Amino acid sequence: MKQKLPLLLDCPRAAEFCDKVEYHEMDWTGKLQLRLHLLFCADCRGYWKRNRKLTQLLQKADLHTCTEQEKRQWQQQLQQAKSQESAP
Amino acid sequence: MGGLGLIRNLTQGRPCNMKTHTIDPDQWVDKYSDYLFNYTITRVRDRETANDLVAETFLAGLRSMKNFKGESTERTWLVSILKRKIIDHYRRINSAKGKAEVQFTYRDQEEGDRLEEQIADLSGRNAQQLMENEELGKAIMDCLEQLNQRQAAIFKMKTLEDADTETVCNEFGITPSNLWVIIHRTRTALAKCLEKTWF
Ligand SMILES: [Zn+2]
Ligand SMILES: [Zn+2]
Repeated sequence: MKQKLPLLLDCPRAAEFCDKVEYHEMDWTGKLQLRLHLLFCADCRGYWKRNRKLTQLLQKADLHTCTEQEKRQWQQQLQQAKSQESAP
Repeated sequence: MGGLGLIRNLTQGRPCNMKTHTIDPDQWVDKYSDYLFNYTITRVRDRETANDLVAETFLAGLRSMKNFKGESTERTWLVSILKRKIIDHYRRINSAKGKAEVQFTYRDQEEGDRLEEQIADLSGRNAQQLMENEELGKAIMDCLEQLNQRQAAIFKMKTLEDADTETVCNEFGITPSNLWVIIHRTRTALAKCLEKTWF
């Protein structure tokens, strides 16, 4: 009966849960555990708030990045153009 | 690193406290493609076109490297090339749609320049809001540029491209717990970097 109490999160784990919530990768039991932890832990509440704000800023900026594949393609084109330029 | 990694140090006729910047095309894609791509897609709103314009910009940059004076940063210089590419793109569209808008643009050279500048800088909509968001986007990109490149790439793919955990892990050869550690570090660093101005 050494099973850990499921409701007790430590702070690093709580922070991880905070992050996962921002990516919608937390189920309701996890959210409940987190909620309880936040009730008693001001540090993690601070992190939670900052993290929420960061997500809002990221959404507001509406950034679009290119894929790794697009980058590889551009890199190839550049290298090709370079070698053509240096060829006699 | 190729032989084209020029280091220019043109200090003649310039105040000595002015920093000169170096140019190295081997690093362009890693360092600037996200920034340039985002700049483009907010203006042309089509992924395919944005992709072409960024590719053209890199190639044009390579061809005109000797014009780089080191007065601005590499990124600013590349953006100025990109701006012209975007203007050209709109000219092509306009001339395909009919000459009216283009003629208006060229009626008076000065006014023409101003209009073109507007096209390149924002395409209609709520200009004020767009500019503020762009300012924010720029700040975020600047913060990300200061981080470890790989770490930033992982964060971007997960956060900005909204890729699922498995896809990111496969692309970078990491485990989910690696991923969440990196996400946590990056979010903490990013919040700290943006704190002063944006929080
Ligand atoms: Zn805590
Ligand atoms: Zn969008």
